[in-house]
Amino acid sequence: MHHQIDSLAYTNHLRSLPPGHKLGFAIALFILGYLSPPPLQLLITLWLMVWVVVYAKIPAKIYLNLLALPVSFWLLSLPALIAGVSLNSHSTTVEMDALWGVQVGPLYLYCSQQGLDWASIVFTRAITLTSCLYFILLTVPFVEIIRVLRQLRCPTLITELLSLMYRFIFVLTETVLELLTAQQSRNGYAHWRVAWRSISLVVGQLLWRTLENYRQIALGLQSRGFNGELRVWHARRYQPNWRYIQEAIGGYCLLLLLLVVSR
Amino acid sequence: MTKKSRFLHLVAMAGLSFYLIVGAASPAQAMHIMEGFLPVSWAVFWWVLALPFFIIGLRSLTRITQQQPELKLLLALAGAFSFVLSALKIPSVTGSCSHPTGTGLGAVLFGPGVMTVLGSLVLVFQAVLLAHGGLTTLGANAFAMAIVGPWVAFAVYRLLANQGKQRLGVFLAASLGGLATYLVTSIQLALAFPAASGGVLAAFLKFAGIFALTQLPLAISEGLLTVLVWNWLQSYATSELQTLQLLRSE
Repeated sequence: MHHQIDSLAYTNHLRSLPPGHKLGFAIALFILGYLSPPPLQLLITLWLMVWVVVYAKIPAKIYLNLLALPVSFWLLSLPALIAGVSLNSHSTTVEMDALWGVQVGPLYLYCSQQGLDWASIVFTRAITLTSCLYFILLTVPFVEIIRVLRQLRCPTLITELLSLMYRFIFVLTETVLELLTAQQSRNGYAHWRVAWRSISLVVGQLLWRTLENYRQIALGLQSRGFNGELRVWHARRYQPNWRYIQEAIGGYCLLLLLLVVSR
Repeated sequence: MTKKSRFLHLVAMAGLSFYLIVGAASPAQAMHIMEGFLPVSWAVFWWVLALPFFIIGLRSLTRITQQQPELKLLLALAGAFSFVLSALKIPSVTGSCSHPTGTGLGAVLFGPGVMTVLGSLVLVFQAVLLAHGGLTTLGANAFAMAIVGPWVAFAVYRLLANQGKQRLGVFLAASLGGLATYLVTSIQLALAFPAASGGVLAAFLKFAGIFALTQLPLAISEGLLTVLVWNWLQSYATSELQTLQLLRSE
């Protein structure tokens, strides 16, 4: 339950760039990724890999492991996409669509041409858009995303809840890890009946401690004259880097040109 | 070897290796549609459908936090609790392990309206901290996990709790809430990718059939876990549960 993505976001080598630039770049690529044909999408994916692995210095192994996540979801839904079932093997829609088929009792099972087309479109699109998302996740710490949202006039309750939740997630994760260690050291997960009891104790205890936490914080804030606003001091300065700006704008214009030509 | 039987062997091998890969994959996830899976039109459609629920939920939360500012902290803690809960591993009835969705317990404890907002924010964190789900598919995922799931769970719980069958209510709330989520996700995928023959219905049956392998055991384990947690809370933490009543004053 270690939050690896979050710690990488704080230590990456593009940290000093203004978060607005990085977000704008990724969102522009998002839109381009949705519009472009598969070869261009692969080009975007490779380009982003250079940004993340070479410029931001995120370990390649971690990045590839992350990219395997959308692939595993794609693999899971692959059978549903390409397998076709029909009662009548001689209807025109099935004959048009079937690449190869086999008769099983009353049913005709076949491999669908349309499904294969969809599977390949979804594969490149998912990889490309996930790369854009990962660029944001791995180079912009969450606190800075919230700050950008605040500048964009996002409702204050949302930004406040997001930043408070962000802090509490780490507090509660710590609590859960302590509870789990305590149980494991007492053979709490030795076999499945004990494991069930242990895990239900963890959830119950976690809720109890969460509420205990709330009472303490609420009391502490009330005694300091809390009126509903929490302000956080922020002193980080950002430095735009011309070399990166040039590559981002130049590369994007090139991709846009390729998109227009390929249409 | 004829051409046909060689092809059959190839397909059988591909199928087998596929299941080895998927079977060996880490704990079954609650179903998040990954980034980029839905075509633009469907991604936008689910965003538009989910937004009104979110805005209504947010408005009522704004009202209660204006009256009692410290409830913001309770809300944030409840959201963080749901997130951490969904990252736990629970033993599944089939022997492997899986992650609970936490929607059922959340809906019973905090109420479905609150859960709509908190669930959507939890989805944001799952995308940001764990890379599960995505931003374009956030609308679709929020509709399944933060709107349909909690409301089904809450309705089931209320129905049975009013008849005095509270434990059964909690069990069914958690497992049916999870099942409703999985069915809605299957519908969303089927609408985006209808089958060439049989259309949306055939596609739905295919997606639901495949995901049932992981989601049915998960729903049952989640129901069992929620009942165990509920028993513990009833016997040891009744006074703490009173605190949560504050969120119900909407």
